Amino acid sequence: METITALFAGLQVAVQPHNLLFALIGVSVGTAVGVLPGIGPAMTVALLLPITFKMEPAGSLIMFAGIYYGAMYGGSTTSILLNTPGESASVVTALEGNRMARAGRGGPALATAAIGSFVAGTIATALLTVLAPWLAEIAIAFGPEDYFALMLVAFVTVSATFGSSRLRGLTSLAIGLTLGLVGIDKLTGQTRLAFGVPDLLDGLEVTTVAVAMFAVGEAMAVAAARGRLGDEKIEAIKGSLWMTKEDWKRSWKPWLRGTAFGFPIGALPAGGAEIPTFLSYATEKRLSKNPEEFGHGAIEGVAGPEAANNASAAGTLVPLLTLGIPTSATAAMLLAGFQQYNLQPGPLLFITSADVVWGLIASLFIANVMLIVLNLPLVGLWVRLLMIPRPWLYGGILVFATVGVVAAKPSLVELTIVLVLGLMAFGMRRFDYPVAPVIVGMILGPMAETQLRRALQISNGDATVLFQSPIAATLIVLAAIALLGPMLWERLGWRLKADED
Amino acid sequence: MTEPSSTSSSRQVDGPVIAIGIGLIAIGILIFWQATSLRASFGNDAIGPQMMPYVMSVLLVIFGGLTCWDGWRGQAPERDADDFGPVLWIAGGLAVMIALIKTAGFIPATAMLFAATARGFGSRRSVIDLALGFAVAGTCYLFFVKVLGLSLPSGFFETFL
Repeated sequence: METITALFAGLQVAVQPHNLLFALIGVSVGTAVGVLPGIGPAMTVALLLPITFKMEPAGSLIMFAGIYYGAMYGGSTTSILLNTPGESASVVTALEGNRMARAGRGGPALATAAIGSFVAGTIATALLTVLAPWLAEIAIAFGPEDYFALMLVAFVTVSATFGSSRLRGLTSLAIGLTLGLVGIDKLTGQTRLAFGVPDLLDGLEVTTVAVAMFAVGEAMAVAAARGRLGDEKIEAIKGSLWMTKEDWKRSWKPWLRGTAFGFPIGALPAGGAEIPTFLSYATEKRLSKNPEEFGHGAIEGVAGPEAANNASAAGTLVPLLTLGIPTSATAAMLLAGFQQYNLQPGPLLFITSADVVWGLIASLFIANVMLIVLNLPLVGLWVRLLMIPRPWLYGGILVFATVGVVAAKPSLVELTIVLVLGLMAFGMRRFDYPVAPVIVGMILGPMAETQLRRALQISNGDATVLFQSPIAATLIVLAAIALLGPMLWERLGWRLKADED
Repeated sequence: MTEPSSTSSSRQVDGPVIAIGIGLIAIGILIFWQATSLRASFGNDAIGPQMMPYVMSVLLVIFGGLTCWDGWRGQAPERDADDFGPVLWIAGGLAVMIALIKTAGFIPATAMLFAATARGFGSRRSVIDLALGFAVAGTCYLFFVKVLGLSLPSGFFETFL
């Protein structure tokens, strides 16, 4: 009951004209960056951070969340019509979606993606509404050692559990954590890793690192690979945007199953929207009555993964809002968005800034309605964005990126860091190092350090405090399993295979 | 970490990967050296500001060592035959922008960046790119300075807007 009352109070915040406008701007910008390859929600939020600095928190956070949701919708359009995913979470959609578009069924593919996103987004936001206050109530009892242990779990799962290499994931994380150390130590006022450069005393700007990692690194990687990949072809939208009865019949179960994959995986500190989309695709392929259609444009292969990536976006907000733990690069940016208003996501936020939190949650329902309108009847408008020639698109992205960096901190040092870290990000992509752990490590690292030092200060430097709290001990064991588990499964899996031979 | 299946296709020593490993070790040592000058200002010495830098330096050295080992055994994933010309164009565009932005102002500096990036993506119409870069940068400048009230570095061109 309390939740319903709070949600209605939030709805009153969300329907204020200026907040509706921010939601609309957010979902429009989000859809655009979702459609455009080379620019994603994490970097967009990073670029908007310095601009929204002076705005009121509720409005700009509603806008940021709209960008996150919108990008999940927009990404599918590019996947289906261009066969180049607009977002990493839409990679799987391209498999079946583009085949459908080539076979003249682009309309139904876009429709099942958009409606599936709406269904999943709405169900997952409802789950968020129910779960968040409940989890916040539990988390209020967490001590610093428990928070530190929780962050440890997030670090391990984001970097090591699901990537292609544990070593490379952990190395990315270590780079991010090291970048987070730069500047004045909050607890003692001593300068760390600034090398005598005054510009570094406040630490690295989030915008700077995000621009280097995503905009510059990505542009370089795409430009370098251009000759190898050749030109892309945009499929015209053929076929009615209306789904036939058969399409509906084949879509609704994948939508629900996709939601069931996306929400929990997004909510656990397991990171990212990519994993649930892969799981959803594999499941639909297995359950389908006509598995031979997979690879030739099976609608289930679009419906499931698209529902999964939207549900995971909502799921990601659960640990972010209730615990202050980001489990994806975009969530880390949203956390930075909260922090710029001195709001610390976590259980206390539901008490101290109830209007902001509930206004944000309520606006997510509204954003979903806006998005289905923007992405179904108006899809033709977004497709035009894909006609921008690549040289100009990326040129424009880098100009915007520069504006963002300069607006955040007008310093040549900061711009030079963009160049250096941008080259590093290109190298990371080339050598298959994941980029998201850098961002998560840089933003979450200083918070983890503060919690650890606080815990150790209370215990007078006795490290066993981490194992005395049952919550912290359990979480540390979980982190160890997440780190070492895959190694064991690999061994076991190999054994099983060997037995079969 | 040993995967029995991959030992069968034994590859050669991977120089660049070993270089990455050495780089990580070097950064780790640098951070260790920096951390030695930090002291806890009060209370227990273990939990001061130097704790995390020490932890990170040790981790970086370990990861660097493992990376070298991977490179030695040729275990890194294969890389695509990329063309580095475009990367140099984009990096050069950024460098020129950084060199110009304080003196020439925001618009010409980012217009150069725009044109260089376009060139990196295979455009051969540099004059048109530069003109478009001026238009994009000018629009950005007007929006940010006049609408949002932020300040961007200005020079000769910006005084006319």
